[in-house]
Amino acid sequence: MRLTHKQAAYVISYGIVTISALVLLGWAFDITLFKSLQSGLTSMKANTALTFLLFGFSLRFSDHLNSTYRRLALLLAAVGLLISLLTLFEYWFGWNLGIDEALFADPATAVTHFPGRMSIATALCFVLAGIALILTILRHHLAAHVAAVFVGFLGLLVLLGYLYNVSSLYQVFVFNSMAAHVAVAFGLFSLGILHLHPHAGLSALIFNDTAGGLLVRRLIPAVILTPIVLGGLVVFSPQTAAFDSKFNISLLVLSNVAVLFLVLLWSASSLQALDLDRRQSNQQFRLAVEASPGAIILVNQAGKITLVNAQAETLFGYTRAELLGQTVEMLVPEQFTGPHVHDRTGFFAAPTARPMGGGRDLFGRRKDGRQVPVEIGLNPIQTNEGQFVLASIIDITERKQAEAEIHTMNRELELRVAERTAQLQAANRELEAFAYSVSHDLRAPLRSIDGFSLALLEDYADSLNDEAQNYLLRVRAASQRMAQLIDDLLSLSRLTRSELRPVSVNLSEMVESIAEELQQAEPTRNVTFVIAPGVMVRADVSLLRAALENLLNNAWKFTATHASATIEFGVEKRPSNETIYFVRDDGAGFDMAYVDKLFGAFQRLHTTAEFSGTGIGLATVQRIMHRHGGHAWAEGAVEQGATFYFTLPGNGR
Amino acid sequence: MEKVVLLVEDNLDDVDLTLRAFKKNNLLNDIVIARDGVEALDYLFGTGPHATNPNPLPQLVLLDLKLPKVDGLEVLRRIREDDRTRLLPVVVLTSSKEEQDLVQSYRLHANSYIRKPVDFLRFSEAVRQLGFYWLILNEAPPDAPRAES
Repeated sequence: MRLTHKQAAYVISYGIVTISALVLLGWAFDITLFKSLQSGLTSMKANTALTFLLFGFSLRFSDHLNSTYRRLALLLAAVGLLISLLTLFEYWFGWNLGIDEALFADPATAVTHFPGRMSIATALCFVLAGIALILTILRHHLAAHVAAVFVGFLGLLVLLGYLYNVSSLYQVFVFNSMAAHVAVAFGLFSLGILHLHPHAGLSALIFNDTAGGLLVRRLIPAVILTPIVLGGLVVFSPQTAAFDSKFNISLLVLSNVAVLFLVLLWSASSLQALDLDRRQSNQQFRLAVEASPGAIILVNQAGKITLVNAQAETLFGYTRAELLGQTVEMLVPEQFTGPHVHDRTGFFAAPTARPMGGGRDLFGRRKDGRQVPVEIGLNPIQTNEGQFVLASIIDITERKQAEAEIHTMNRELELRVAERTAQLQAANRELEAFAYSVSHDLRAPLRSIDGFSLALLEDYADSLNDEAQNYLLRVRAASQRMAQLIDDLLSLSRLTRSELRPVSVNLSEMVESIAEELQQAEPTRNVTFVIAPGVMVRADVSLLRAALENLLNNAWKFTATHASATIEFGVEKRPSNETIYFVRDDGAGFDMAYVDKLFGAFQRLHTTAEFSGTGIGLATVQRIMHRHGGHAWAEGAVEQGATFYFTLPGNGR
Repeated sequence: MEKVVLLVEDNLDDVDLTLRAFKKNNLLNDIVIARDGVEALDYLFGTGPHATNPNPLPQLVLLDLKLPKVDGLEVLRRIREDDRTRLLPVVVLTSSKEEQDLVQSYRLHANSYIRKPVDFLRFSEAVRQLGFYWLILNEAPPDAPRAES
């Protein structure tokens, strides 16, 4: 598992806490291993361990989200700083404040001037470390990091003393020197501070993915470790003891140079690869910009154009040379340049990818002064040269034209629809007036013809012979038939004029009631009705009743010549999921050759002498079905009955 | 004295046929004929030619709808608007059974709506029934409003 820098800092803080806690345990139970690692070596003093404990916890909580924890961290750092400062004052003024053995007596240093006191070097390191901590908590990262680096170097210095066995490096006074594990703890502390905020202060130089960061991370360990390791080899090698120190130093310098040279070469090759990669990305970026179908302009924070593509040249009518280095407002219509500068500043304050203009119509200004309707997308780009905005600009002249055309067409269409509607309404009104007039005026003469024919027959029966009387009877029959035709015609025309009011209708009950009426009208007929139960539809009640009356009247009428008959009402479900209703009889039927004529107005397949009727019934049925969005059709054969089907879309079972 | 029936009808043929139907059914009331809406209103309200000699209200008005000058529905409206004639029995007797005519007539409080059949025998039967009902069976409203005017 890879730790993040912050997690690493926390682990380090736990490490410091653990070391200091162990040392305190060592003091409490007199465990030499914990106090001095090995008897005879300098011990980590109790106050040193205590201060590390305080700083360890302080480091852990120094960046806590909860401000209470941060305040606690500040307090811990301040107490640690106070302890170390007091210790320094003790040395400076020769005081003994009694703090050195406040926790535990130190018999090992009892004979010295400063029993149990931490070394001056340690106290100085703590002062620096405390300052580093407080600066970190107050978010002055650069200063904190500098202080931490000092602490680390001092720790390293002491460790080198131990490594090379040079006591002057760690032993300021006899029995008052910095212990090795104290030096290690200071080194750890330094690393902890640097890792805690990896993107601030000095750490930002080290922990980033730039070439610089890579170089620092490679070179720092090399620069630190190479001399230490090589120096150690020189110091401890039995062979080198034979040579004089100048030779040894020369050897050390030479090997240092060699190793560092190799590290440098290795780093350089990595950096070159990285640089080539970036150059290639840059090249690809430029190619992508150039290949973009829309115009692209890159603008820096000062509003200067730093990159354009060929499309931008075409769109604005400027050459590349004329655009580069100019302020972008040269491409904005004059009346908008002021607001544009303001908006541009606003964009750089909060750079997010978004369309420009917030829904307003945008225009670009060409070199020739012409304004072009455009759509602009803005994308922030962060580079090492600062913040840029990449504007992709699309010329929407054609789209605007198309929109305008569509708008005009819609307007025209609306006008035409309104015109047609008005015409239709006028036609409907005319039709209504016509129907009204027909119903009033066309019948009156027929009444006269019939009435006076009858008057002749009644009043002048004596002077009219049989033939004359027969003619008059035929005049009367014809006038009555014409009246019937007019009525049927009017009711057919009313079907198209009346408003459709769909409700839930029980067709089965409707058929039953019509069947009952038919049987009551002619009780001597022997007709069996077979009615499918519970057939519900959504339709206009009066229209559906008119349709069913027509169909059942037909069935009744065309079975009259048979001694007994069956009339059936039912429902079929077709594979197409269409629900089909039908009225079937076993009466006179019809020849399928004339099926086309069946539903036409005033079309009849039988003479009036055979079967009465005006020929309007099935036309009515068809029109009712059409008004419901359905249709009607028929199947039959002469003397084998007929089936009349109809559909009512939107109704299923 | 037998009260009269006011027949408002512009078609002479229809007038003759209606009279014939009355006669055939032995309805002996006097029948006054108004040939258009204006004549009917003059007769009822004692205006125009009737100003000098106002008539008593008829027992029944038989009203055609399609009339010259002032149409039947307008005549009916004026009858119902006036206190003198508000209660007068008015039977619409016309050719059409257009929905708008029916609705309008009843909205204006026509007492009945009879459509004239083309077949004279049925027409005669209709006249017989309406005459029997309105002139014999039905109790006419009292004349009181007339006295007030």
